[in-house]
Amino acid sequence: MKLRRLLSNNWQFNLTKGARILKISVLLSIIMTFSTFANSVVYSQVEISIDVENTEITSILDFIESTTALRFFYDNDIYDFKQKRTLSLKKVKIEEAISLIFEDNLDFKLSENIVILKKAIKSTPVKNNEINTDKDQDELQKTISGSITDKDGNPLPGATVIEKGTSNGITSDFDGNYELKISNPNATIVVSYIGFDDVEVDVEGQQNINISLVETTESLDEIVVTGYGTVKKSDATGAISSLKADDINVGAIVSVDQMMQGRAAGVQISQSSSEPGGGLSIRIRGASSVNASNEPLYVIDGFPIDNSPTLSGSGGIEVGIGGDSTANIATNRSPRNPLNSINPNDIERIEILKDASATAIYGSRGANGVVLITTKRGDEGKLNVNYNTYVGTSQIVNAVDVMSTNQYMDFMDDILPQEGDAAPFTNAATRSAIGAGTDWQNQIYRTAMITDHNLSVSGGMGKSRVYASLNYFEQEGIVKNTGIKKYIGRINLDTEISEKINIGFNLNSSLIEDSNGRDGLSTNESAGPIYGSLLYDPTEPVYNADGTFARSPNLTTNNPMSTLMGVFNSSETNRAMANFYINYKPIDGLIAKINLGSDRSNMRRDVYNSRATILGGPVGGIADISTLSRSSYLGEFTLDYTKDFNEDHTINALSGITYQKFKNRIFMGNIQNMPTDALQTNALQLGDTNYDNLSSLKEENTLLSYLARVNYTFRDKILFTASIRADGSSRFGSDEKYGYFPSFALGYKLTDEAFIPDVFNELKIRTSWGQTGNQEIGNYASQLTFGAGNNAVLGGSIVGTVRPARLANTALKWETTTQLNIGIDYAILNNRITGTIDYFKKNTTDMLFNLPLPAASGYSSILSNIGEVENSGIEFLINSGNITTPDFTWSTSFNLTSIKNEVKDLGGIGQVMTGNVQAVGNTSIIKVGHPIGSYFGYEVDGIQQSGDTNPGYPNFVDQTGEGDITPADAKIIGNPAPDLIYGINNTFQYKNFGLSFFIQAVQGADLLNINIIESMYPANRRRNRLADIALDRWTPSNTGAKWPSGANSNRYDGDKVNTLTLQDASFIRLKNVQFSYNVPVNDSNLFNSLRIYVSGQNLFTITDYIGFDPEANSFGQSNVRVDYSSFPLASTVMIGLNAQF
Amino acid sequence: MKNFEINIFLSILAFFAINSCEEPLEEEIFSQLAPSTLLINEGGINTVLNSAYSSAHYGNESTLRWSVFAGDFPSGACWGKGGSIESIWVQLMEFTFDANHAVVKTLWPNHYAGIRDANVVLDNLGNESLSSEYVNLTTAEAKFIRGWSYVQLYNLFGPVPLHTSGLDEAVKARATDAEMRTQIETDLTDAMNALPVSTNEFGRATKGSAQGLLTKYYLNTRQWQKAASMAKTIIDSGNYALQSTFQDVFSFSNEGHNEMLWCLPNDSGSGNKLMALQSLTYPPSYPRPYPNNAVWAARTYMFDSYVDSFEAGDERKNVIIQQWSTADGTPQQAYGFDQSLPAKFPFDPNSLAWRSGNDFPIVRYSDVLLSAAEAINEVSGPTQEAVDYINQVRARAKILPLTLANYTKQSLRSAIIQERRWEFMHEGKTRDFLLRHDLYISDAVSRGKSATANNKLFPIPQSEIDANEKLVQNPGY
Repeated sequence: MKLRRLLSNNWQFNLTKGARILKISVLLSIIMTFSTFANSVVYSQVEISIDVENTEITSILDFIESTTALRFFYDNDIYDFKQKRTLSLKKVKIEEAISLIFEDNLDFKLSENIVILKKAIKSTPVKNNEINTDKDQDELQKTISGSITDKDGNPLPGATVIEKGTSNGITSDFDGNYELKISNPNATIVVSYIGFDDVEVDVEGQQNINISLVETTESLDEIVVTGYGTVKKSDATGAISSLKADDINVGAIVSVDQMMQGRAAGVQISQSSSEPGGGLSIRIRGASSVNASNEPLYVIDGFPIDNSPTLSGSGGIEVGIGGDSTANIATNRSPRNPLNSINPNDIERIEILKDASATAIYGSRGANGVVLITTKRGDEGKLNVNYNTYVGTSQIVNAVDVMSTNQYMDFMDDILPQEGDAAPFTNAATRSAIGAGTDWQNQIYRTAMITDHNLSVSGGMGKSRVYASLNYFEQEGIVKNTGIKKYIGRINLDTEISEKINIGFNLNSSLIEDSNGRDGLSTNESAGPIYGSLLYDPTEPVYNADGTFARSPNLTTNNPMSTLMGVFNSSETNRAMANFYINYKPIDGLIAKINLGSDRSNMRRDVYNSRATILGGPVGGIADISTLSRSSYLGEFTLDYTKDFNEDHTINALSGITYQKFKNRIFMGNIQNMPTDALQTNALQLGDTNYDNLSSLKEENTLLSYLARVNYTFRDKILFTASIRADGSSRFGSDEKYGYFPSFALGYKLTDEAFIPDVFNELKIRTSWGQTGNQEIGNYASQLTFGAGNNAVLGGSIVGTVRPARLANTALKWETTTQLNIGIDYAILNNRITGTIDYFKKNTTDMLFNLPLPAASGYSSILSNIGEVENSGIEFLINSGNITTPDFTWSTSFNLTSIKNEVKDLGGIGQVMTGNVQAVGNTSIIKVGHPIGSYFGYEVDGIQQSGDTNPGYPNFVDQTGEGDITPADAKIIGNPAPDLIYGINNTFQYKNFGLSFFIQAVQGADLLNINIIESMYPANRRRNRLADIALDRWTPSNTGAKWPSGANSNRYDGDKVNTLTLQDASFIRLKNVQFSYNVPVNDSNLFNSLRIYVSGQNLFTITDYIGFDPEANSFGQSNVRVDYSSFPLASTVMIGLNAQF
Repeated sequence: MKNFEINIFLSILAFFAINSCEEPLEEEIFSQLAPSTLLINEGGINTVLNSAYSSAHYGNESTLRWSVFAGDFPSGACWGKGGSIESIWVQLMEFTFDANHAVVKTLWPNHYAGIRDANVVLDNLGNESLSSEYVNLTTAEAKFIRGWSYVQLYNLFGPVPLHTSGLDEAVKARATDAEMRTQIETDLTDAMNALPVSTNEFGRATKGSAQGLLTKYYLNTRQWQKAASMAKTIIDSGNYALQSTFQDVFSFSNEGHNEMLWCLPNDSGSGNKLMALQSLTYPPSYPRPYPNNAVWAARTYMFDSYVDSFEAGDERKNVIIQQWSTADGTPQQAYGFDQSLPAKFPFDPNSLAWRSGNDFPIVRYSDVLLSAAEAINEVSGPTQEAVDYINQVRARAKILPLTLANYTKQSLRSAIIQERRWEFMHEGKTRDFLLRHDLYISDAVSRGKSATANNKLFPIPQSEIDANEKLVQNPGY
């Protein structure tokens, strides 16, 4: 028996009967209140007008389907659907319509947009006297009962239970319970529920059968959220990845973007710092811009948010002022993640818009893809209270081995004499006095706690629906004195004011308290504890006898504990996001909508560098406070019109105007020589005003945009979408304020074509072309302005100076990305296997490029529209329900992406060096014909052996063959972007037990390891070194060594960026494992459901990379990647509980 | 009810419309200045002139440091090791530096930044409200800074692109040698003629600054006669004098003295106008006089042979640390290992860790005296006048005077070079005087370095070659 009616049947019907139906005048329209905030359509309120004469019921249902989001499901046997009806209905609710169509002979159930037609069962079959009297006792005992739930134990009311091969069936009640009398004790029952896979159970004499249903891997008629609207997934013409929060075993996550990691094809998400609350780098279909941002636009419930980095370190943010920061021990290049202020528990779903058809509606902000985040909203019906909590601990996954104290002493006694210095540890008494020494990594790391409590309430009251939540999250970093605490509250409210007006309101308010790490890209005395722990002399003690921090006379780096305990670095961020919408339906088919939003954040960062550090000591402490006030306001007006011209043609048109203004204000002040370290940053007025610095900044920018989109559907077969956005930005030249971003897409549903094998339940090809832009270049780039220059000292006084900030480029305009996409959506084997395949080619032209100028002009570069970058690639997504039995299910989701990035043109400039690291120099190159940020350095083909010029030195390859190692021998030696990224998620469910594990993998990426450089080319001979490099060093007796001798390393040829310091950063990581148990709560009055679980994150990583994390990037979101004392990856084990009341 | 709904909707819409009907895409500037408001009065122009001074005084600590190392490391005046800087030093010492070397990457843009700001000032002095006195003085200061910047570039790189206005094309080819020299002489002569003899703001250009630079420029370009007469003009002016002791020249309490003709003023609290040579001189275990001093991982060292070269009683030798004791009294021997420390610049009592405020001399009066002697000797052989000038410098160092009769032109030349080695240790001047006497390369070769005539000039930074298709690299790089 086929409960789910396949669309193909409809089509055959329509085609054969088409001619007759055309005669019938049909007016069918629908208005639904829909919003961009959510798929919050109240389908029960959908109004339908039908005007038909003598028309088959199937045909009437078809028309309702083709013009509304409603979908009918029924068993063909329960009713004669070929009956004809003559109806004239004007704006009636769906309930009434169904009742009239079927003349009250069928029951129905409405679940979201799904209408399930059922045989009318007027009374409960259980305890039915009629049965008792008519049937014998044997048959009475064939009554079975039980409950039907989802995998989390939530009851599924309205699920259908049918005795297989008969029309005997029943639906479950409000609590998911059913009782069914069966005719045969060996019968098989079939349980169905929309959105879930059917389950067949052999009764085999059982009386109580509880059934847990598993959601259909991918529901084809799911609604997906798009820019300024929604669309049926089957009608989508763009490349969109949809993630439902329920499908993601999130584990301990701080920010929403972490939820997406590894789960969407074409999206590379790298945790550039594993510090709690640290930033992520997101590349949707590759890096398209050299100098403008490559991060996607985030739209939360229809509100595009400003997600640029917040204050980093003690001085300056990306948009702000540089300035000398004497507190720079705490400079941390990895900015906080702005999405920390969203509670991951509030997320209903995430859509990632990838191709131009999907993103062009966001115009100048769409080129890097768009992430649409939809938060949960209240449902109709009874109040739902959810409480989720977990607690766990984290530990470092992989401490990087450095030499032990004894190895260190042996090493120094070997190496220092080779460099002309005395061997320091030859004296046995010296050695025994040192003893075990200090394991510095042991000192700075800890087992860290993580805690989360989340309480949410949702439900409907009268004409209002509400979702409200409170979240408390605390995560300690595995490096001491780091961590994050979050307090987040949300209210989402929707109210029907009248039949024509709906309003809604969202408020998200958050307080984030960060205890920031101290490591960044700085070196020597400006570096932090992680850096220090890798190279500090292990023969040194932590403390002096008097309890102060010891400091080696041989080193000019800080004792790692002195920076860990002696630098105070915290920040506090308050962010409130609110938006309000009003929908107005003046006439059928037309929705006018106003959307207003505001996003305000205030951040303050306090850094105190105490006397315990090398920098803080001499100046009596440095106190530094930076504040950032950031706000954005949105005003938006859209008109949405849907009309069916006849049964074949449906048009949906959208137009709108949107205005968004962004403001930043920064104030920073620091002062030195505080009377005591105890005051930290709380009394700057007590510092020495001869040594203070103040700076402030204010800037604004504005977007004013006009947008339009048309969706046209022909016979539910040909899908066409065209959109355009005219975007005006204050950031561009006076004649180039406006950019125009068109897109076109065509989809063709092949499923019903004769030449398509029946195995396909769905087959759709789609293609799109369009243009998007990028305007993330900072403000004022088109104007000549004067800003603060370096100080001068004249007449014994420090005087401020002003200098030209840039050359003006009044012709500065949009960067344009043109993208072609060809994709296939398919479903086979009764939807057991579904998936998509996409090919794309993205060409970014008129690139916003800091065109290098000769420094002789007085300027290093001018921001220009020059050059081209191409990204092309293939994405696969496969979801498979491998095994589906009542007791056991196994499903797999697999995604894979391969992207090729190539710089095609730099406007006549051959190459640009980039990625400067202190004491290393430029690490990377942007060069025509190669990926952005390729590593540029020297090739090493081994170690020179005895008899060679310099035994023990690395042998650099003379590429030019001229006999010398010169800069001409440097070449591109690696690519920071991977060849392949993929993710695999497996989910098993056995009765009440669930198991899932998620593997994330990156293949073919390189990463420059600055810590290896620090070991190979130590800035101070007495520093410790990575064990791999020091212990497998070349010696006359270890001639097969991988690493050079380590003696006189500053006299090696070539340079520090070479094939020894560049490493393969491929990895396969078990990102998440979760084992859960649904506690049976049938008898509980308290719980609706209760689930407990144990979960592990980052349990293992397979990689050849020497370092904390092959995914790290000390440059944060940059396309240039280096690993420099990055915050170590943590593995987390936790237990959790989800309770629904 | 219906009207009510429409009214609500329209009023919200109206609110929205009102908010967006201002000129929404005008870019308003709050924290930076526009040329139309900045460059119209003395105050605004002065802020840009100050920026030109900032670059002319070496915009930051590393500019100063690399300028000194460029002069002293390849010429064999000192050596160093330790720290991440060591590999960069090695390239200077071994003549393996290339177009990406820190020296060229740091100095080239610094000097051109000064030229840019000077040109902006010169381009914007046409405003009628400005007094002619102001215009004349400011023109002279801007031309001085431009001339000084081109002197430095010419010295390091040879003829370079000449930018003399902010409106010049960004991409320009090198000037010819004649154009380069004309530009330098014109700028510095114009400046000399208009600058005041003294200024109450130490660090600003004076007539003596321009004369001092011209003296050195003539000397380096072997225009001996011009050098001699310019030096004598300075000496005869009586505006400058030697400090009574060598250490007074560099002492903190004495900064701003009249031995300095052109000096780079620094201040530990300025954030960028800093000196850090001490941090690369004293070892971490050296007991530092003030708790606020700090040092780095690398050291600069003087060879034993240099320490040995001093004549008996020379006070200039006293600034070299040959041995010392750590805080706990452990003796440390530096001399004997070629590791004597050139401790010429004292620790700054107000230093902020490594950030010290020692002023750094470029042209001081002892240099003028030795320049006069050197030029006179080249023009007319050893004369009493030349020897007298040298003896003024020697007398201050408390060593015996030279006697004219003992010297030929050649041997006096050598004596002056030796005198300069003693007098200007660690001031980055060695390369200049070796170059102008054709000793720079031959000395290096005799030390076993693979130096060639091409190494007389540094390479132009690779990034500059990449960005300027009209620019031809110096030969050999």
